[in-house]
Amino acid sequence: MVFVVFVLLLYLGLSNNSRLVHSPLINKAVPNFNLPVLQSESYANNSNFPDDVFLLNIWASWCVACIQEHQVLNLIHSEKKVRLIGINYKDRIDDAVGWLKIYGNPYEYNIIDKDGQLGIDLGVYGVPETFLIDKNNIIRAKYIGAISEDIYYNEILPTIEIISDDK
Amino acid sequence: MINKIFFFSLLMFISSSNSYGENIKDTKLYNKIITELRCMVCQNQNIAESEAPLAVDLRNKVKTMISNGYDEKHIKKYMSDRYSDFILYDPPFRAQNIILWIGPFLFLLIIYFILFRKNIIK
Repeated sequence: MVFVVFVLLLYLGLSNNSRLVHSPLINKAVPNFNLPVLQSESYANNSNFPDDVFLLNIWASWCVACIQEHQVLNLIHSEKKVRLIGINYKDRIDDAVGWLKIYGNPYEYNIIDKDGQLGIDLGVYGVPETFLIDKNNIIRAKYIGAISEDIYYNEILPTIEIISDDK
Repeated sequence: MINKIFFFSLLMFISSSNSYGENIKDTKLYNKIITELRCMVCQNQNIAESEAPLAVDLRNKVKTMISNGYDEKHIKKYMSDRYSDFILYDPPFRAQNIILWIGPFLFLLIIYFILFRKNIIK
C-alpha cells in the first residue's frame, strides 16, 4: 500500500514538467519600460499598447526555435484574430532587420530590448516566450518556448474568447 | 623556489575567486546571493556556476543592486517577483510550498507509525 503511494508520487513527479515555471507575473500589469522601436526613430512605452487583447512575443535572430515559431506567427498575423507586438531580445539591429526580411514581419512593431532589462522584468529565461495581454494591459497567460499551431488554436484562441468579454 | 611557488599559488587564488572589488562586505554579499539564485536556463546550477547569458545578466544585476545599496532581502524579492520562488534555492515558507517544508517530517512520522504498529503486532 505504502509502496503503491510512493510509486504514484514518483510517477507524478516524472510527469510534472519542472522546466515550465509558473510565472508570478500572471494577472499583473506589464512592467514599465521606455525603449526604442525597431526600424523606426521613435520610442515605445506601455501607453502605446493597444486597447485590445494582443500577443507580446519575445524573439531574437540568434534564437533557433524562433525560426520554426515564426511560421505560426505569420499565420496568426494573416488570420487577424489577435494583434501581435514583438520584443527583439538582446540582438543586433542589423541581424534583427535582416531576419525579418528573410522570414517575414508579422509584428505591428518591435520593441528593442538590447540589454535584456525588459526581459528580466518579464521573467524571460527561454526565448521565444509569448505573453497574452488583455485590453487593460494585464498579463493573462505566458507561453514558454515556440508557439505551435496546436497551442494557437487550442490554447491561445480559446483563452482570448474568454478574456475578451472582460471589462 | 618555495617563495616562487607560494606567490604563484597566491596569484592563482586571487584570480580564481569570484570577488569584484569595491569592499569585502559587498563582495561577500554578492558571492552569497549568486550562489543562492538558480540559473533558470540550466536549472541544476546556480548563477555563480553558470555561464548562460541570462546568468551573466543576473550576476551583473545583483552586482549593480548591491552597489546601489539594496540588501539581500530586496534583491531576492526582486528576482522571485520576476522568476517565481523557483529561482531561490532556499524558498520562503508559504502556503503553496508548505508540503516542501513539512513533507519530510510528515513522511518520517508515517514511517515511524508503520514501524511502530508492526512492533505491536509482533
